[in-house]
Amino acid sequence: MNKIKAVVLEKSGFRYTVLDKDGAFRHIHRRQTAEIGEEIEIQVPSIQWFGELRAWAGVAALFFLVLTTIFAWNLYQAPTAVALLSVDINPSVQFTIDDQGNLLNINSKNEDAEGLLKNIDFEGRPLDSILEEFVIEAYNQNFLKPEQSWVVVGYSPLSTNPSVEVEEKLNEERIMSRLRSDFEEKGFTPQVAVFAVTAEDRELAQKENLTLGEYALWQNAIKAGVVTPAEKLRDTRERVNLLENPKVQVQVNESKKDQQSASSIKGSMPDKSNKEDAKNNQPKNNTENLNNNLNDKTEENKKNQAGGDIINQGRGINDKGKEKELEKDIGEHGTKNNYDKSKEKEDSSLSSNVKRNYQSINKKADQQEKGNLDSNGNR
Amino acid sequence: MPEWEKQYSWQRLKDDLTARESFLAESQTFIRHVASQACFRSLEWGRDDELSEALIAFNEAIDLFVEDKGVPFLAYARVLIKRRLIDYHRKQRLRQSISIDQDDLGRRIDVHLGLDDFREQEQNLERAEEIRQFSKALLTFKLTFQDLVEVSPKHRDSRETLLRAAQELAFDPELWQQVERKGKIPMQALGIKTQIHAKVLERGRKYILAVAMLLANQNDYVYLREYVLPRERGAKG
Repeated sequence: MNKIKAVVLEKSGFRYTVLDKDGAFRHIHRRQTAEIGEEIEIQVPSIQWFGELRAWAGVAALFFLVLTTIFAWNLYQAPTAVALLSVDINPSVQFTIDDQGNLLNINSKNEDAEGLLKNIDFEGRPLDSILEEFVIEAYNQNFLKPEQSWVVVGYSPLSTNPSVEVEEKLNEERIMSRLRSDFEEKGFTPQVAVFAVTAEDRELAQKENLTLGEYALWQNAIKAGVVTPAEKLRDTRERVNLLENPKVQVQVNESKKDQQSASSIKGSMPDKSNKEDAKNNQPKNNTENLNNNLNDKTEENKKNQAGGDIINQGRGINDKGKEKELEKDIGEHGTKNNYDKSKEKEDSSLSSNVKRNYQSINKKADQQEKGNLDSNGNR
Repeated sequence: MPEWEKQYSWQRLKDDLTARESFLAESQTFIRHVASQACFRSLEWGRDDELSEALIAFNEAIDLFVEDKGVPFLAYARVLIKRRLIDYHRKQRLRQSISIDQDDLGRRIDVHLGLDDFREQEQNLERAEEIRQFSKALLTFKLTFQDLVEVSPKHRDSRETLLRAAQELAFDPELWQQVERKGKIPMQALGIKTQIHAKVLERGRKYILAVAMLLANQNDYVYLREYVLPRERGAKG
């Protein structure tokens, strides 16, 4: 503020009309007693003061503008889809996940899925809770049951550099644990097959109108020499047949190993997978590596079980009932060894199961091959 | 008085008789104007003795004036002229027993009023008188102080532009005569003379007129015109 001389021209109410030394006529507040014609000093905003004020106002305005822009940007930025995840039980759905690992969109692939999704509001929730609730709902509506205990999961990142949140949530271990977490009390564990799908395969899956999981399974089956029309993959029974086919199981595990080794070379995957690999290669006395133990025992099983650890992780269905069956199996085959009893039961039952599956599947495969040959021959 | 301060320094006016003579000659209009106001009638050189008295008072004012006191010379000279004339009329009344009905008659008259005696109160009264006169003059153009506050430019730059326009208007006899004759500013002619945009002039029309009135009537608004003159010159008083 600047002081300047001014002459009082007029008095009215609480203010004076003055003419200041700069030639400006002004109204000023009547603070002091002055008569008309008297020269007084008044305060006017100086150029410097005004300039300073203006500069500060500018800085404040700029700061405010930047803040509001950032806030608005964050608030109104549309969430982008960063990954797709499909779940096939009988209801088949495909979830789109945003960069925070939350659900962006659900695409139901069949009528069962539509019926199931009506009961649940998934919008914007995190992936973990969605998976849990979806599987529980499938169980409650009797889609998932001991007779049909397979859950096929396929996931594919949409961007080359997914965020940390998404990477954390989209990995096999986490998906499996989430799908099984609430079943421990129910005495039932769903069997889970998880497939990581590449961007190319994702597009091909869309072309074939299959979910990611279905497509990955189909591809694995083809590689294993089990040729099935793509449409049949939408049928739960066909999927289960394929999943329980040892040839397919071997192929699945091999392709998984290929993926892991490829990713470890690239260095893009976290160390977890490599560690897992190392673990799998070393036989251990835990349930996950039962198949490895089996490999030691029979040459035949070695082929079938070489990498079947992941697919068969869920082999705990109605453990007590199974044990009895397994005992029977042991009796029939008359296999005895130096392992402790419980282990013996488990291992032998699994091996016999695999044997049986293998035999039946081999037969089927042979038949199919013959059929193919016939048809080829006809051509 | 800014117009002549450029030509004469005070020391020269006091010492150099020729310079003083020419300054007195130039100030005749002012002396006549003040004397006529004090006597309430029009005075003429060579006819009225009052003008001789006024000239003597003005000459004394030159001797007594001190530049640094912060008082405009003409304001000081005006008071001295008025007092000298009141004194003159008192003497005349005593001699001729003519009664002079004047407000100022009751005052103690001291023709040799020093600058120290030229008190603040005295200046305030002088200024108040000027303001009353200015207010009346504004009313003839249907203007009030309230109007002037409203139209007065807030920014220094635009105010200085209008002050310059007012100066051009006030000091151009032809333009100012048009104003006095028609009661309005010849906008087109002023625009050409000042090279200021017509819109700017039109927006500041009332302000230009008011300021030009103060500047053009040099003898009436001795104090007030100091406020509207460009600062570097107006500051000297």
